[in-house]
Amino acid sequence: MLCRKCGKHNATSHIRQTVNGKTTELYLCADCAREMGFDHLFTPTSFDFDDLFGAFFGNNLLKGSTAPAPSAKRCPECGASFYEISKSGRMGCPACYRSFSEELMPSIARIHGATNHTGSHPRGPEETIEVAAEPSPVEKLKASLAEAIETQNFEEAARLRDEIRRLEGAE
Amino acid sequence: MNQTKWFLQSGPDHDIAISTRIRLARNITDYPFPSRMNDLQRQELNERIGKVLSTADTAPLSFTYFDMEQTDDAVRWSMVERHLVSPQFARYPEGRYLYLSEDERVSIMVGEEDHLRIQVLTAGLDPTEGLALAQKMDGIFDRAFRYAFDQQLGYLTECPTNLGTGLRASVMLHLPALRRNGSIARISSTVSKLGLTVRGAYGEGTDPAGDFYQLSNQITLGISEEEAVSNLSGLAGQIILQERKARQTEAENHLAVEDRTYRALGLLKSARLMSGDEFLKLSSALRMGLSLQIIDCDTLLTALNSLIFDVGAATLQKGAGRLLPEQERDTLRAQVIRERLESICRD
Ligand SMILES: [Zn+2]
Ligand SMILES: [Zn+2]
Repeated sequence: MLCRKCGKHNATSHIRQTVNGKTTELYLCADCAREMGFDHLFTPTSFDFDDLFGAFFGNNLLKGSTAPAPSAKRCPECGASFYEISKSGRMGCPACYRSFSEELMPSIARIHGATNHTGSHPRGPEETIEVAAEPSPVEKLKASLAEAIETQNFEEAARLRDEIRRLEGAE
Repeated sequence: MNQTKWFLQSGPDHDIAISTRIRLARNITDYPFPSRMNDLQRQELNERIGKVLSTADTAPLSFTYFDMEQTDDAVRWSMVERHLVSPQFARYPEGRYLYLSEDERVSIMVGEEDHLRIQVLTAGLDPTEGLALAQKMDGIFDRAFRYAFDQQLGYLTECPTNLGTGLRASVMLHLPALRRNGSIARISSTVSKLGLTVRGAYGEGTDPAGDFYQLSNQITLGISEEEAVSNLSGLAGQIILQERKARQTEAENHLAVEDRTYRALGLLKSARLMSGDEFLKLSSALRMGLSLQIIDCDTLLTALNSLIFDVGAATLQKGAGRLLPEQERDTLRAQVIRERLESICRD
Protein backbone atom coordinates (compact mmCIF):
# COMPACT_ATOMS: atom_id res chain seq x y z
CA MET A 1 0.00 0.00 0.00
CA LEU A 2 1.26 3.49 -0.80
CA CYS A 3 1.61 6.19 1.81
CA ARG A 4 -1.65 8.16 2.04
CA LYS A 5 0.15 11.45 2.47
CA CYS A 6 2.90 11.59 -0.14
CA GLY A 7 1.61 8.80 -2.34
CA LYS A 8 5.20 8.00 -3.21
CA HIS A 9 6.62 5.59 -0.69
CA ASN A 10 5.36 2.37 0.76
CA ALA A 11 3.29 2.81 3.89
CA THR A 12 5.05 1.30 6.88
CA SER A 13 3.12 2.87 9.74
CA HIS A 14 -0.46 2.26 10.54
CA ILE A 15 -1.64 5.11 12.70
CA ARG A 16 -4.99 5.36 14.35
CA GLN A 17 -5.89 8.90 14.98
CA THR A 18 -8.81 9.71 17.24
CA VAL A 19 -10.11 13.22 16.83
CA ASN A 20 -13.37 14.08 18.53
CA GLY A 21 -14.06 10.44 19.08
CA LYS A 22 -13.84 9.71 15.36
CA THR A 23 -11.05 7.35 14.51
CA THR A 24 -9.23 7.83 11.26
CA GLU A 25 -6.78 5.24 10.08
CA LEU A 26 -3.68 6.51 8.42
CA TYR A 27 -1.20 4.56 6.40
CA LEU A 28 2.04 6.47 6.19
CA CYS A 29 5.60 5.94 5.07
CA ALA A 30 8.35 6.32 7.67
CA ASP A 31 9.23 9.84 6.54
CA CYS A 32 5.68 11.10 6.61
CA ALA A 33 4.99 9.43 9.95
CA ARG A 34 7.99 11.19 11.43
CA GLU A 35 6.98 14.44 9.81
CA MET A 36 3.58 14.23 11.40
CA GLY A 37 5.12 13.62 14.78
CA PHE A 38 4.30 9.97 15.19
CA ASP A 39 7.85 8.81 15.69
CA HIS A 40 8.23 8.81 19.40
CA LEU A 41 6.23 9.32 22.48
CA PHE A 42 7.42 12.69 23.64
CA THR A 43 6.95 14.29 20.32
CA PRO A 44 3.58 15.84 20.89
CA THR A 45 1.00 15.08 18.29
CA SER A 46 1.02 18.04 16.02
CA PHE A 47 -1.13 20.74 17.44
CA ASP A 48 -1.98 22.11 14.07
CA PHE A 49 -4.69 19.92 12.69
CA ASP A 50 -4.14 21.34 9.28
CA ASP A 51 -0.77 19.65 9.21
CA LEU A 52 -2.72 16.47 9.19
CA PHE A 53 -5.76 17.53 7.30
CA GLY A 54 -3.85 19.55 4.76
CA ALA A 55 -2.97 16.29 3.08
CA PHE A 56 -6.60 15.32 2.79
CA PHE A 57 -7.81 18.78 2.04
CA GLY A 58 -6.73 18.42 -1.56
CA ASN A 59 -9.20 15.63 -2.26
CA ASN A 60 -11.92 17.67 -0.63
CA LEU A 61 -11.13 20.58 -2.84
CA LEU A 62 -11.68 18.59 -5.97
CA LYS A 63 -14.75 16.84 -4.64
CA GLY A 64 -16.48 19.96 -3.40
CA SER A 65 -15.75 22.14 -6.35
CA THR A 66 -18.56 22.82 -8.72
CA ALA A 67 -16.16 24.55 -11.08
CA PRO A 68 -15.17 22.89 -14.31
CA ALA A 69 -12.46 20.24 -14.13
CA PRO A 70 -8.96 21.58 -13.50
CA SER A 71 -8.00 23.54 -16.55
CA ALA A 72 -4.80 25.10 -17.72
CA LYS A 73 -5.71 28.18 -15.69
CA ARG A 74 -2.83 29.39 -13.55
CA CYS A 75 -2.44 32.04 -10.90
CA PRO A 76 -0.95 35.06 -12.68
CA GLU A 77 1.13 35.92 -9.61
CA CYS A 78 2.86 32.65 -8.78
CA GLY A 79 2.02 30.33 -11.65
CA ALA A 80 0.32 27.69 -9.49
CA SER A 81 -2.39 25.70 -11.22
CA PHE A 82 -5.54 24.65 -9.43
CA TYR A 83 -4.52 21.06 -9.93
CA GLU A 84 -1.31 21.64 -7.96
CA ILE A 85 -3.20 23.42 -5.21
CA SER A 86 -5.83 20.75 -4.86
CA LYS A 87 -3.20 18.02 -4.81
CA SER A 88 -1.13 19.61 -2.07
CA GLY A 89 -3.88 21.42 -0.16
CA ARG A 90 -1.61 24.47 -0.21
CA MET A 91 -2.04 27.75 -2.01
CA GLY A 92 0.84 29.06 -4.08
CA CYS A 93 0.62 32.68 -3.02
CA PRO A 94 -1.88 35.10 -1.44
CA ALA A 95 -3.21 36.01 -4.91
CA CYS A 96 -4.22 32.38 -5.52
CA TYR A 97 -7.29 33.02 -3.36
CA ARG A 98 -8.46 35.58 -5.91
CA SER A 99 -7.33 33.60 -8.92
CA PHE A 100 -9.23 30.48 -7.87
CA SER A 101 -11.97 32.07 -5.80
CA GLU A 102 -14.74 30.22 -7.60
CA GLU A 103 -13.09 26.83 -7.15
CA LEU A 104 -12.12 27.45 -3.52
CA MET A 105 -15.19 29.00 -1.97
CA PRO A 106 -17.26 25.80 -1.59
CA SER A 107 -14.42 24.12 0.32
CA ILE A 108 -13.77 27.18 2.46
CA ALA A 109 -17.44 27.37 3.35
CA ARG A 110 -17.46 23.68 4.25
CA ILE A 111 -14.31 23.86 6.39
CA HIS A 112 -15.28 26.94 8.37
CA GLY A 113 -19.03 27.05 8.03
CA ALA A 114 -18.58 30.71 7.13
CA THR A 115 -17.10 32.78 4.35
CA ASN A 116 -16.64 36.19 5.96
CA HIS A 117 -13.83 37.25 8.26
CA THR A 118 -15.02 38.91 11.44
CA GLY A 119 -11.74 39.17 13.32
CA SER A 120 -9.09 41.86 13.49
CA HIS A 121 -7.59 43.76 10.56
CA PRO A 122 -3.96 44.68 10.03
CA ARG A 123 -3.07 48.35 10.28
CA GLY A 124 -0.13 48.08 7.95
CA PRO A 125 3.16 49.96 7.83
CA GLU A 126 2.99 53.59 8.90
CA GLU A 127 4.68 55.13 5.87
CA THR A 128 2.34 53.52 3.38
CA ILE A 129 -0.88 53.99 5.30
CA GLU A 130 -3.45 55.20 2.87
CA VAL A 131 -5.77 58.06 3.60
CA ALA A 132 -8.43 56.40 5.69
CA ALA A 133 -10.62 54.64 3.18
CA GLU A 134 -14.17 55.92 2.82
CA PRO A 135 -16.32 53.58 4.93
CA SER A 136 -18.22 51.09 2.80
CA PRO A 137 -22.02 51.49 2.48
CA VAL A 138 -22.47 48.53 4.85
CA GLU A 139 -20.13 50.06 7.40
CA LYS A 140 -22.05 53.32 7.24
CA LEU A 141 -25.32 51.47 7.74
CA LYS A 142 -23.85 49.56 10.68
CA ALA A 143 -22.86 52.82 12.32
CA SER A 144 -26.39 54.17 11.84
CA LEU A 145 -27.78 50.92 13.21
CA ALA A 146 -25.72 51.25 16.39
CA GLU A 147 -26.96 54.81 16.74
CA ALA A 148 -30.58 53.81 16.16
CA ILE A 149 -30.32 51.12 18.83
CA GLU A 150 -28.71 53.54 21.22
CA THR A 151 -31.49 56.07 20.76
CA GLN A 152 -34.04 53.23 20.98
CA ASN A 153 -35.30 53.97 17.51
CA PHE A 154 -36.19 50.34 16.93
CA GLU A 155 -38.25 50.82 13.80
CA GLU A 156 -35.37 52.50 12.09
CA ALA A 157 -33.03 49.84 13.51
CA ALA A 158 -35.10 47.05 11.98
CA ARG A 159 -35.10 48.80 8.62
CA LEU A 160 -31.33 49.28 8.75
CA ARG A 161 -30.74 45.69 9.79
CA ASP A 162 -32.74 44.41 6.81
CA GLU A 163 -30.84 46.71 4.50
CA ILE A 164 -27.51 45.46 5.89
CA ARG A 165 -28.61 41.87 5.47
CA ARG A 166 -29.65 42.56 1.92
CA LEU A 167 -26.30 44.16 1.08
CA GLU A 168 -24.26 41.49 2.85
CA GLY A 169 -26.24 38.75 1.22
CA ALA A 170 -25.45 40.20 -2.17
CA GLU A 171 -21.72 40.24 -1.55
CA MET B 1 7.44 39.44 33.85
CA ASN B 2 10.64 37.62 34.67
CA GLN B 3 12.88 35.42 32.55
CA THR B 4 11.92 32.22 34.37
CA LYS B 5 10.87 29.55 31.88
CA TRP B 6 7.12 29.72 31.47
CA PHE B 7 6.62 26.09 32.50
CA LEU B 8 8.26 26.66 35.88
CA GLN B 9 5.49 29.07 36.72
CA SER B 10 2.09 28.00 37.88
CA GLY B 11 -1.00 29.17 36.04
CA PRO B 12 -4.77 29.16 36.55
CA ASP B 13 -6.25 25.66 37.11
CA HIS B 14 -2.80 24.13 36.77
CA ASP B 15 -3.82 20.91 38.51
CA ILE B 16 -5.74 20.06 35.32
CA ALA B 17 -4.62 22.56 32.67
CA ILE B 18 -0.90 22.18 31.98
CA SER B 19 -0.37 24.81 29.32
CA THR B 20 -2.13 27.09 26.88
CA ARG B 21 -0.83 27.75 23.42
CA ILE B 22 -1.75 30.58 21.08
CA ARG B 23 -0.53 30.69 17.51
CA LEU B 24 -1.03 33.34 14.83
CA ALA B 25 -0.28 32.58 11.16
CA ARG B 26 0.83 35.57 9.09
CA ASN B 27 2.09 36.13 5.56
CA ILE B 28 3.61 39.06 3.78
CA THR B 29 2.36 40.25 0.39
CA ASP B 30 5.82 40.41 -1.21
CA TYR B 31 6.40 36.66 -1.46
CA PRO B 32 4.65 33.47 -2.51
CA PHE B 33 3.79 31.09 0.34
CA PRO B 34 6.74 29.15 1.83
CA SER B 35 6.36 25.99 -0.22
CA ARG B 36 6.89 28.06 -3.39
CA MET B 37 9.67 30.27 -2.04
CA ASN B 38 13.24 29.84 -3.22
CA ASP B 39 16.30 29.90 -0.97
CA LEU B 40 17.03 33.53 -1.70
CA GLN B 41 13.52 34.64 -0.82
CA ARG B 42 13.61 32.65 2.39
CA GLN B 43 16.88 34.26 3.42
CA GLU B 44 15.64 37.71 2.52
CA LEU B 45 12.41 37.21 4.44
CA ASN B 46 14.38 36.04 7.45
CA GLU B 47 16.75 38.99 7.29
CA ARG B 48 13.84 41.42 7.18
CA ILE B 49 12.16 39.75 10.13
CA GLY B 50 15.41 39.65 12.09
CA LYS B 51 15.92 43.35 11.49
CA VAL B 52 12.41 44.25 12.63
CA LEU B 53 12.78 42.17 15.75
CA SER B 54 16.19 43.55 16.66
CA THR B 55 15.02 47.15 16.42
CA ALA B 56 11.62 46.66 18.04
CA ASP B 57 10.93 47.25 21.70
CA THR B 58 10.16 43.75 22.92
CA ALA B 59 11.24 44.30 26.53
CA PRO B 60 11.25 42.39 28.79
CA LEU B 61 11.52 39.64 26.20
CA SER B 62 14.88 38.97 24.64
CA PHE B 63 15.18 36.67 21.66
CA THR B 64 17.72 34.07 20.64
CA TYR B 65 18.11 33.31 16.96
CA PHE B 66 18.38 29.82 15.45
CA ASP B 67 19.11 28.95 11.85
CA MET B 68 17.41 25.58 12.05
CA GLU B 69 19.66 24.02 9.42
CA GLN B 70 22.70 24.85 11.55
CA THR B 71 21.03 23.53 14.68
CA ASP B 72 21.73 20.04 16.08
CA ASP B 73 19.18 17.28 15.69
CA ALA B 74 18.81 16.84 19.44
CA VAL B 75 18.32 20.58 19.95
CA ARG B 76 15.70 20.76 17.21
CA TRP B 77 13.76 17.75 18.46
CA SER B 78 14.04 19.00 22.00
CA MET B 79 12.27 22.13 20.81
CA VAL B 80 9.46 19.92 19.52
CA GLU B 81 9.22 18.13 22.87
CA ARG B 82 9.05 21.48 24.61
CA HIS B 83 6.27 22.59 22.20
CA LEU B 84 8.41 25.44 20.88
CA VAL B 85 8.25 24.44 17.23
CA SER B 86 6.13 22.10 15.15
CA PRO B 87 7.42 18.63 14.23
CA GLN B 88 7.54 19.73 10.57
CA PHE B 89 9.73 22.65 11.47
CA ALA B 90 12.31 20.37 13.08
CA ARG B 91 12.01 17.69 10.42
CA TYR B 92 12.75 20.03 7.50
CA PRO B 93 15.17 22.62 8.85
CA GLU B 94 16.31 24.02 5.49
CA GLY B 95 15.35 27.65 5.00
CA ARG B 96 13.65 27.79 8.39
CA TYR B 97 14.56 30.15 11.19
CA LEU B 98 13.48 30.59 14.76
CA TYR B 99 13.46 33.49 17.20
CA LEU B 100 12.91 32.17 20.68
CA SER B 101 12.40 34.28 23.79
CA GLU B 102 14.63 33.48 26.74
CA ASP B 103 11.72 32.36 28.88
CA GLU B 104 10.58 30.10 25.99
CA ARG B 105 7.15 31.72 26.03
CA VAL B 106 7.32 33.22 22.57
CA SER B 107 8.59 31.48 19.48
CA ILE B 108 8.55 33.11 16.10
CA MET B 109 8.93 30.58 13.31
CA VAL B 110 10.00 31.90 9.92
CA GLY B 111 9.31 29.83 6.82
CA GLU B 112 7.10 27.21 8.42
CA GLU B 113 3.81 26.62 6.61
CA ASP B 114 3.34 30.40 6.67
CA HIS B 115 5.92 33.16 6.49
CA LEU B 116 5.48 33.91 10.15
CA ARG B 117 4.07 31.86 12.95
CA ILE B 118 3.91 33.64 16.25
CA GLN B 119 3.39 31.27 19.14
CA VAL B 120 2.92 32.02 22.81
CA LEU B 121 2.88 29.47 25.64
CA THR B 122 1.46 30.19 29.06
CA ALA B 123 1.14 28.01 32.13
CA GLY B 124 -2.29 26.74 33.12
CA LEU B 125 -5.46 27.85 31.36
CA ASP B 126 -4.70 31.38 30.28
CA PRO B 127 -5.56 32.05 26.64
CA THR B 128 -6.36 35.72 27.15
CA GLU B 129 -2.89 36.46 28.42
CA GLY B 130 -1.37 34.42 25.58
CA LEU B 131 -3.47 36.19 22.95
CA ALA B 132 -2.50 39.61 24.28
CA LEU B 133 1.19 38.78 24.02
CA ALA B 134 0.80 37.22 20.57
CA GLN B 135 -1.07 40.30 19.37
CA LYS B 136 1.62 42.55 20.76
CA MET B 137 4.25 40.66 18.75
CA ASP B 138 1.93 40.66 15.74
CA GLY B 139 1.64 44.44 16.00
CA ILE B 140 5.40 44.79 15.68
CA PHE B 141 5.43 42.96 12.35
CA ASP B 142 2.22 44.61 11.21
CA ARG B 143 3.97 48.01 11.50
CA ALA B 144 6.84 46.77 9.35
CA PHE B 145 5.21 44.69 6.62
CA ARG B 146 2.13 44.65 4.49
CA TYR B 147 0.36 41.48 5.56
CA ALA B 148 -1.47 39.33 3.04
CA PHE B 149 -5.04 40.17 3.98
CA ASP B 150 -8.38 40.09 2.22
CA GLN B 151 -11.45 42.02 3.36
CA GLN B 152 -13.63 38.96 3.02
CA LEU B 153 -11.27 36.10 3.89
CA GLY B 154 -9.13 37.85 6.49
CA TYR B 155 -5.48 36.89 6.92
CA LEU B 156 -4.45 34.77 3.95
CA THR B 157 -2.61 31.57 4.82
CA GLU B 158 -0.96 28.83 2.83
CA CYS B 159 -3.56 26.31 3.95
CA PRO B 160 -7.22 27.43 3.81
CA THR B 161 -7.88 25.80 7.18
CA ASN B 162 -6.17 28.82 8.83
CA LEU B 163 -7.91 31.58 6.86
CA GLY B 164 -9.53 34.43 8.74
CA THR B 165 -7.85 35.07 12.06
CA GLY B 166 -4.98 32.62 11.51
CA LEU B 167 -5.44 31.89 15.20
CA ARG B 168 -5.09 28.48 16.75
CA ALA B 169 -5.68 28.38 20.49
CA SER B 170 -5.13 25.23 22.42
CA VAL B 171 -5.02 24.04 26.00
CA MET B 172 -3.43 20.84 27.26
CA LEU B 173 -5.67 19.16 29.82
CA HIS B 174 -5.05 16.26 32.15
CA LEU B 175 -8.25 14.20 32.23
CA PRO B 176 -7.64 10.83 33.90
CA ALA B 177 -10.98 10.61 35.70
CA LEU B 178 -13.03 11.54 32.65
CA ARG B 179 -11.11 9.02 30.58
CA ARG B 180 -11.73 6.29 33.17
CA ASN B 181 -15.45 6.98 33.47
CA GLY B 182 -15.77 6.94 29.69
CA SER B 183 -16.77 10.57 29.16
CA ILE B 184 -14.16 11.60 26.60
CA ALA B 185 -16.22 10.49 23.59
CA ARG B 186 -19.25 12.45 24.77
CA ILE B 187 -17.15 15.55 25.44
CA SER B 188 -15.52 15.22 22.05
CA SER B 189 -18.78 15.16 20.21
CA THR B 190 -20.04 18.17 22.17
CA VAL B 191 -16.99 20.30 21.49
CA SER B 192 -16.91 19.36 17.81
CA LYS B 193 -20.38 20.83 17.40
CA LEU B 194 -18.91 24.07 18.69
CA GLY B 195 -16.00 24.07 16.25
CA LEU B 196 -13.37 22.70 18.61
CA THR B 197 -11.53 19.40 18.82
CA VAL B 198 -10.20 17.18 21.58
CA ARG B 199 -7.44 14.72 20.98
CA GLY B 200 -4.64 12.89 22.73
CA ALA B 201 -1.62 15.08 23.37
CA TYR B 202 0.87 12.22 23.43
CA GLY B 203 0.19 9.15 21.41
CA GLU B 204 -2.98 8.38 19.60
CA GLY B 205 -5.97 6.14 20.06
CA THR B 206 -8.50 6.06 22.83
CA ASP B 207 -5.98 5.91 25.70
CA PRO B 208 -3.42 8.64 25.11
CA ALA B 209 -0.34 8.31 27.31
CA GLY B 210 -0.75 9.90 30.73
CA ASP B 211 -4.33 10.99 29.91
CA PHE B 212 -3.19 14.30 28.45
CA TYR B 213 -5.49 15.87 25.87
CA GLN B 214 -5.38 18.94 23.63
CA LEU B 215 -8.49 21.06 23.28
CA SER B 216 -8.20 23.43 20.28
CA ASN B 217 -10.30 25.58 18.04
CA GLN B 218 -10.80 24.21 14.56
CA ILE B 219 -12.50 27.16 12.90
CA THR B 220 -10.73 30.40 12.07
CA LEU B 221 -13.06 32.14 9.62
CA GLY B 222 -16.23 33.93 10.72
CA ILE B 223 -15.12 34.09 14.35
CA SER B 224 -13.18 36.88 16.03
CA GLU B 225 -10.01 36.27 18.02
CA GLU B 226 -11.76 37.20 21.25
CA GLU B 227 -14.68 34.87 20.55
CA ALA B 228 -12.35 31.99 19.71
CA VAL B 229 -10.40 32.47 22.91
CA SER B 230 -13.46 32.89 25.07
CA ASN B 231 -15.05 29.76 23.57
CA LEU B 232 -11.90 27.85 24.39
CA SER B 233 -11.79 29.21 27.93
CA GLY B 234 -15.45 28.53 28.53
CA LEU B 235 -15.35 24.97 27.26
CA ALA B 236 -12.08 24.18 28.99
CA GLY B 237 -13.58 25.56 32.20
CA GLN B 238 -16.55 23.24 31.89
CA ILE B 239 -14.39 20.23 31.14
CA ILE B 240 -12.22 21.08 34.15
CA LEU B 241 -15.32 21.19 36.35
CA GLN B 242 -16.44 17.81 35.06
CA GLU B 243 -13.00 16.35 35.63
CA ARG B 244 -13.01 17.67 39.22
CA LYS B 245 -16.39 16.10 39.82
CA ALA B 246 -15.27 12.77 38.36
CA ARG B 247 -12.16 12.87 40.57
CA GLN B 248 -14.32 13.41 43.64
CA THR B 249 -16.36 10.37 42.69
CA GLU B 250 -13.21 8.28 42.33
CA ALA B 251 -11.97 9.61 45.64
CA GLU B 252 -14.92 8.00 47.39
CA ASN B 253 -12.71 4.95 47.38
CA HIS B 254 -10.10 6.93 49.26
CA LEU B 255 -7.76 4.07 50.03
CA ALA B 256 -7.47 3.03 46.39
CA VAL B 257 -6.63 6.56 45.25
CA GLU B 258 -4.26 7.07 48.15
CA ASP B 259 -2.48 3.84 47.32
CA ARG B 260 -2.14 4.78 43.65
CA THR B 261 -0.77 8.20 44.57
CA TYR B 262 1.90 6.95 46.97
CA ARG B 263 2.90 4.09 44.69
CA ALA B 264 3.46 6.58 41.87
CA LEU B 265 5.44 8.89 44.13
CA GLY B 266 7.51 5.99 45.43
CA LEU B 267 8.42 4.81 41.95
CA LEU B 268 9.17 8.29 40.65
CA LYS B 269 11.43 8.94 43.64
CA SER B 270 13.31 5.67 43.53
CA ALA B 271 13.28 4.01 40.11
CA ARG B 272 16.65 3.64 38.37
CA LEU B 273 15.23 3.17 34.88
CA MET B 274 12.25 5.18 33.69
CA SER B 275 10.78 5.08 30.20
CA GLY B 276 8.91 8.09 28.90
CA ASP B 277 5.70 6.11 28.84
CA GLU B 278 6.07 5.01 32.45
CA PHE B 279 6.83 8.56 33.51
CA LEU B 280 3.64 9.85 31.90
CA LYS B 281 1.56 7.12 33.53
CA LEU B 282 3.03 7.63 36.99
CA SER B 283 2.87 11.37 36.77
CA SER B 284 -0.79 11.03 35.81
CA ALA B 285 -1.53 9.06 38.99
CA LEU B 286 0.50 11.39 41.19
CA ARG B 287 -1.02 14.54 39.71
CA MET B 288 -4.46 13.27 40.51
CA GLY B 289 -3.51 12.52 44.12
CA LEU B 290 -2.07 15.99 44.43
CA SER B 291 -5.16 17.67 43.08
CA LEU B 292 -7.27 15.69 45.57
CA GLN B 293 -4.85 16.84 48.24
CA ILE B 294 -4.01 13.32 49.27
CA ILE B 295 -0.57 14.82 49.28
CA ASP B 296 -0.80 18.54 49.85
CA CYS B 297 2.12 19.96 47.94
CA ASP B 298 1.67 22.50 45.19
CA THR B 299 5.39 22.68 44.41
CA LEU B 300 5.29 19.02 43.51
CA LEU B 301 2.54 19.68 41.00
CA THR B 302 4.52 22.49 39.39
CA ALA B 303 7.56 20.20 39.30
CA LEU B 304 5.56 17.51 37.51
CA ASN B 305 4.26 20.04 35.00
CA SER B 306 7.77 21.17 34.19
CA LEU B 307 9.21 17.63 34.09
CA ILE B 308 6.97 16.84 31.13
CA PHE B 309 9.02 19.33 29.15
CA ASP B 310 12.37 18.23 30.57
CA VAL B 311 12.52 14.47 30.24
CA GLY B 312 11.76 13.93 26.56
CA ALA B 313 14.27 11.76 24.72
CA ALA B 314 15.76 14.58 22.65
CA THR B 315 15.83 17.02 25.56
CA LEU B 316 17.80 14.51 27.66
CA GLN B 317 20.24 13.95 24.82
CA LYS B 318 20.61 17.66 24.31
CA GLY B 319 21.54 17.98 27.99
CA ALA B 320 23.98 15.08 27.75
CA GLY B 321 25.50 16.53 24.60
CA ARG B 322 25.46 13.20 22.78
CA LEU B 323 23.18 10.49 21.50
CA LEU B 324 22.15 8.12 24.25
CA PRO B 325 21.12 4.50 23.80
CA GLU B 326 17.70 3.73 25.23
CA GLN B 327 18.89 2.33 28.54
CA GLU B 328 21.17 5.29 29.21
CA ARG B 329 18.30 7.59 28.35
CA ASP B 330 16.00 5.82 30.79
CA THR B 331 18.72 5.97 33.42
CA LEU B 332 19.20 9.67 32.92
CA ARG B 333 15.45 10.29 32.93
CA ALA B 334 15.07 8.43 36.22
CA GLN B 335 17.92 10.44 37.68
CA VAL B 336 16.54 13.81 36.59
CA ILE B 337 13.15 12.93 38.04
CA ARG B 338 14.64 11.71 41.35
CA GLU B 339 16.75 14.81 41.75
CA ARG B 340 13.85 17.11 40.96
CA LEU B 341 11.46 15.43 43.39
CA GLU B 342 13.93 14.73 46.16
CA SER B 343 14.00 18.09 47.85
CA ILE B 344 10.30 18.84 47.43
CA CYS B 345 7.68 18.55 50.20
CA ARG B 346 9.66 16.47 52.61
CA ASP B 347 7.57 15.85 55.65
ZN1 LIG C 1 4.84 9.35 2.67
ZN1 LIG D 1 -0.72 32.34 -6.65
